[in-house]
Amino acid sequence: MLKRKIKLDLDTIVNVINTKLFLAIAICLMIISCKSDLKQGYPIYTVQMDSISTWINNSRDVSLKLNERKDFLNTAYELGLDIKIDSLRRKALLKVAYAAYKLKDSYFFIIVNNKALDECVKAKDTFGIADTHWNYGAFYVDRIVLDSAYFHYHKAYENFLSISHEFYSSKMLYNMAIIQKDIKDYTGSEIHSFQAIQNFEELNKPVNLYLCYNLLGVIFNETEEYDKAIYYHEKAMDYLEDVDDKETYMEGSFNNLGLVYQKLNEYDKSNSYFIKALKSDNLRISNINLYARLLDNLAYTKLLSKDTVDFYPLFYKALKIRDSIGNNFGVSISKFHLSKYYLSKRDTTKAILSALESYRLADEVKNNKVVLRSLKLLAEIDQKNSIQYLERYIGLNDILQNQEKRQRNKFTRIRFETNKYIQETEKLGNEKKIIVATSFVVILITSLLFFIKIQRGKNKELLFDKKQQKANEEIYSLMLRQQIRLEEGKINERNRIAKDLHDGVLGRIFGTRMGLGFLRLGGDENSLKKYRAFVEELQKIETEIRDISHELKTERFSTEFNFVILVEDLLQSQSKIGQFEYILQSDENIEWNSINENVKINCYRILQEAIYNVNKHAKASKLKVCFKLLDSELKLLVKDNGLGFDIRKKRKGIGLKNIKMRAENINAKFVLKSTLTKGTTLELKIPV
Amino acid sequence: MKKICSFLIIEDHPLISNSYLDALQSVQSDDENVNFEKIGIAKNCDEAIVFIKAARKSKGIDIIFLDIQIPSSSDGKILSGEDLGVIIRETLPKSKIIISTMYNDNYRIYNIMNTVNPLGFLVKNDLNPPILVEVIKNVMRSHPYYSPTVLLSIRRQYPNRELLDDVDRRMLFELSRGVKMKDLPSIIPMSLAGLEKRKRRLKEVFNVDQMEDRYLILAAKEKGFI
Repeated sequence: MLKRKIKLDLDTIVNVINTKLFLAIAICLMIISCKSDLKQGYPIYTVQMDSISTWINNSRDVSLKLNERKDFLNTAYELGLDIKIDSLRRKALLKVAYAAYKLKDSYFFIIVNNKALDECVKAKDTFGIADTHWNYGAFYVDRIVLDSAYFHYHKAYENFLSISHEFYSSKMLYNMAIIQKDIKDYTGSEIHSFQAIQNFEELNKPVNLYLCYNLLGVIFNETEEYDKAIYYHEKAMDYLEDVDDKETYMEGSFNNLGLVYQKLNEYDKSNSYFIKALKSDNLRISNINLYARLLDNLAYTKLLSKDTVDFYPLFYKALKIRDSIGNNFGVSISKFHLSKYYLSKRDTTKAILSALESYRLADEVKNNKVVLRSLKLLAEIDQKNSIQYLERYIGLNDILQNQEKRQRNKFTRIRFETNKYIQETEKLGNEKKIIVATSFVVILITSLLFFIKIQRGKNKELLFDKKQQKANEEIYSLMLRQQIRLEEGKINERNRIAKDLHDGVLGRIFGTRMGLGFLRLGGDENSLKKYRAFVEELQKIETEIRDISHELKTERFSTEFNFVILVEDLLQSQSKIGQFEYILQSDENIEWNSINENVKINCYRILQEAIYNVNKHAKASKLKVCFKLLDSELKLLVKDNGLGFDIRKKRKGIGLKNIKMRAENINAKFVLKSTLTKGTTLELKIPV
Repeated sequence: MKKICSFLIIEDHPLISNSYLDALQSVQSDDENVNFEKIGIAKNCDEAIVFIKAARKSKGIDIIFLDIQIPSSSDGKILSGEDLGVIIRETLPKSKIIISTMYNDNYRIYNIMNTVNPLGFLVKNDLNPPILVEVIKNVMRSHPYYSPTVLLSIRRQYPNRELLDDVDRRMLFELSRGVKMKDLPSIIPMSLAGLEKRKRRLKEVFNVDQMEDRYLILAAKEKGFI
């Protein structure tokens, strides 16, 4: 549980810092706002956290009674539950849970840790989840429920890994390796150790590296690969050189090395390591268990090496120490060794007695290794019950082996599921990447297509515009032609009438008049006077007819086609629809024929649009259209006396937009003025 | 001794030719020494040519009444009384021509004066029986007679007569009839550019430069050219 200690240290440091910080903030705030309500803001929580830390610290006080400590912790727990801020509450719960674990109050621990786990899962606090699993793992290791412990360490490992907390995840690997070693899954343990070592190397954690290599040494000792065991133990001790606080690691390593050499039957070396360790100052105080173990191991080695010196005191001393601190685990080993000792002294009764005690105690503390060994020893020395012991030994051995096998399988399954999970995650990750890539490509292609479509649309629009312009011009020229033909028809008809009048009617009247004139009429003077008057009247009629004929012909020239006639036609037809009176004024010196067709078309269209607007919206009764030529600028004025509109408020309709577009087409300046109820004026200045 | 005076009437309107006959009758009754001899009445150019050719071979014709608007010849060579007048001038130089026409426009009057140079020139509207009798009497004495419209036209054109040549006059006349500039080269044997140049000059002459053709025509009319 050494790593626990480190965690504890870290926590205390954090606590100290936090406490100081909170205190500082609290003081500052109090100074700044003496009147401020303490119910508001952070101070109340810092105070709460502070008091929780105090209660927890109180519960750690070994000098107090267990019940009192439990009460303190319970108070801390209840205070923690009252915290309103989720993250702080979780923190408090985790602290209390860890304290409960330390206190070995299993019922309370489970309640608190469960609560903490629930809150962390709800808040999706991965670190918190990992921490609670870590607590569970440590808890189950203490209870020697190894599969549960392994399961929780593994969960903690997964969660730490998912938030990339390398240090803690490696620690979990190490914890798992220890459990695996305990159930003799040496290969698995080795793998996890090496994984942990790799990470610790990167993180540069000598203490953890020492622990890992030490574990490897122990593993290889168990698998009887002693060379490797020695190598790893020595390597572990190398790492220890860089560590300031060596604690009792060195002595532990000496013990382990001693055991290796003991297995190798190199008892001198074995002894020298044990003695070296025992020589260390203060070991008895700092790690009494290890001290007792070393004594016991030393004695046992001496027994094995058939040392002549009486080493019973060593055994006895170790046993006494172990017994005094209630280390039944150690006592069972001591008893076993004592049994061997009595056997060597050929004191069978005492040997059987010791072996039985060893067996009972080992069974009690579930030290199966010693149970088996003591059973085996009993079978050898207790002749009467030999078979009975042997059967029990075999039975237990089978059970244990099966159990270990099952557990190994279970662990493999847990690992496998994780691997599967990782693989799936990777697969999902890959799929995600593929999906992202594909969607990116799809989006790219779509936007490209969209862009192309827009471009094409624009091109089409341009083409369409061009076509429309062309069509417009065609329509205009058609209109022109139609107009010209109409005019021609008119002119031809006028010519015909003029000619008929002139050549036919006039000639005949002239002839008639002359004929009448040469008549020698008789009658009174009055009748002759009247007759002459009629003849003269005929002459006047002739003059009149000839004038008409001339006028018909001279009209030709003024009726020669021009743009104004088109406009006039338009106004005429529209005025009937809109029932308005119109005035069309055109400067006589505008040479319409020399003005660009495009200008005329657009002028015509703008007029059309404007008149349409007048009809639709303005409801005008009068409309004035005016063409003027001012300094190479053709000015078109359309003025109505209709309803008008607010130019700023009114959104531009298609009609106005059209007008504006057409004006731009011919580089014309376009001004629109409108006054409500007074009418609208549209002014266009076209450069020609 | 009675003076024999031969005459030819070229007129498609029987009422009018009858009026001529009535007028001649009136002259003959006034002056017993005059005896009119009718060569014939031609109703179109073809008939007229026949009489003219026949007269050339015999003793000729003293007085020819010539209408400008008569049906043209079937071969299309002689279009009007004006053309006929030119032919008469060449073939029968001694004949006294009295032209009567419905037209009263300056251009035609000017042209007829130029080409035919008749002794009598009458615009029909000016005419009535006493005047016609008077005309015949004058012409017989080789006195010219122009009806008032003709006189007025000549008088108006006279001050500017040097300004315009025949082509100018023709162009103005055609334009006034509504012929378009681009169609002019097919009527007047000249290039469009040449005609345009003439038109620009005419506009300067009539003080209407930079203005539309219409104003040119109006000005030309006012000055008595068309």
